[in-house]
Amino acid sequence: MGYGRATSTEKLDPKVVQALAQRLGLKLSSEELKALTASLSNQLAAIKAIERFDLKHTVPVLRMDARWHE
Amino acid sequence: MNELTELAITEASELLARRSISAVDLAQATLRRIEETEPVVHAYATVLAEGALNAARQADAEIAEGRRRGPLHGIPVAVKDNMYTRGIPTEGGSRVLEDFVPAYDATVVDLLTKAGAVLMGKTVCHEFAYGVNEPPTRTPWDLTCYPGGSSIGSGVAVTVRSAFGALGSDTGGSIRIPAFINGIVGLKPTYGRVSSYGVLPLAWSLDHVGPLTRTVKDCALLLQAIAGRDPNDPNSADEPVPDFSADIEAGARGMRIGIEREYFFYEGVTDDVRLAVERVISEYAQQGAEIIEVKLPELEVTPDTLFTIMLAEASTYHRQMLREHGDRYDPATRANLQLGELIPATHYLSAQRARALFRSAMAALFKSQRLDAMLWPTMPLTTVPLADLYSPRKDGIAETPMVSYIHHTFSANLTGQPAISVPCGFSGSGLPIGFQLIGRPFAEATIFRLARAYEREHDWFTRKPAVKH
Repeated sequence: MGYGRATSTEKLDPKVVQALAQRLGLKLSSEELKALTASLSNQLAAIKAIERFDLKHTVPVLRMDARWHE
Repeated sequence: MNELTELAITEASELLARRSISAVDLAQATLRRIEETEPVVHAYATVLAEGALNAARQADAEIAEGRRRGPLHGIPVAVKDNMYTRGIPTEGGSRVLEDFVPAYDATVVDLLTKAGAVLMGKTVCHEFAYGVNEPPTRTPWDLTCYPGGSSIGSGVAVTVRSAFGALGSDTGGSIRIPAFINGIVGLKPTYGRVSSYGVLPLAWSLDHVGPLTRTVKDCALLLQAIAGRDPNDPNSADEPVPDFSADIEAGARGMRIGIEREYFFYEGVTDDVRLAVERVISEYAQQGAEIIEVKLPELEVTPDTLFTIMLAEASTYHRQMLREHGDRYDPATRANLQLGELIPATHYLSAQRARALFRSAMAALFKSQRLDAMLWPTMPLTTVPLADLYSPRKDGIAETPMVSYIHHTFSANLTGQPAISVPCGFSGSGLPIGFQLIGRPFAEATIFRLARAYEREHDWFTRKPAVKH
């Protein structure tokens, strides 16, 4: 149930996701682990879309300022 | 006398100034309208009947004494339930904040009160404005369909005339989507134009607060009341606030409007939406605007970029609450919060780099083409049955309706540009359609002017859905 467009055929190992979640202190039911494994696999694939254009010389937005500086 | 609730803010304001009607008349008519419609649409989380009548009496007394505060004095309004209201429950649509009563007002609530607006209540929103759970609110255009989100109650209340105007927040489209679906006007101002102090955050670098109204002129009046620098909000911009209504009737002649077709008129745009928006473009051309076809390939990065940023920022805000009250979140919200925790920092920062690249490309496009605005459909398709929101589209487009909706709204949150959704017709099945105008940063007055140039030639804003029990 997300907004992202990326999908991945390379699914993560649920055990890896469970270990990460546990280390972070997240409690997951078995259904949640299954859903999170699928959504995380897709979400990690989003990086391909994000890095589709050359970002070599681009500095991240660290503080949002809507103005267009000349 | 429910005819009173049919008035636009501008009309009611004039009558109040002349003392042809009273603020108490307006508040009582609005309360009756709330009583009639709430059992069906569930737009309000909290109705403040007594407080509203007291505020209306005070407004009448001040106006009678010659102390009218301005055009919103005595006008019934509502605010989204993610905005702090002193002494009034603010739950953000979540059991996590059940019975939470703030000790202070959000800056926008304070400004509305100072402008003399009469607060009728708090409107329903998706949990913490995330937009993934299913609140009880329904759109009167079709009770089985998705009513928009996350400023869902604000959109519906304005549509059924149980508020003259309302405030919402917009992180990825949450003002413009309910505006489109409910056939009203919704503005996401420039990032930093309106304070977010006292508004529950979803994603700090993407959140915007703005108005939903029936008309463009009403929208300008509401923005006027809430715009400006707020020292309590570090993201608030120190930019001058012009009179947003001063040139609102100046028309579209000579304005330059950019049209990008590859992304915003892709195959996912349905025929009725395409036709309605093409008619808008033709009409602007007839009114003397210059229509300029443009290209912006960087648009392709916007959905994944915004979603990555939103997930990471939202999960950061909720990190502690998720551990302490995880079971109190809706499962859909909780799932997104869990996902956001596992996004690598490098992915978040890459998304912020892609955002910087996209912002530069957008700015360069506006400058090189000397654009005053860009125009595209607010959403590619009209609303769908709630049960279909997260299923593949039935017309063969390989995405869900929800993915299609935000496809057209995310970009303005990434750049921080002002964006307004304006009604422009109905589908064959009677569902509202709207278009979006995106302006230069802090040029809300320009998009109000363009929006008004279209609106004054049409009567879409007078259409009112029947609310049947």
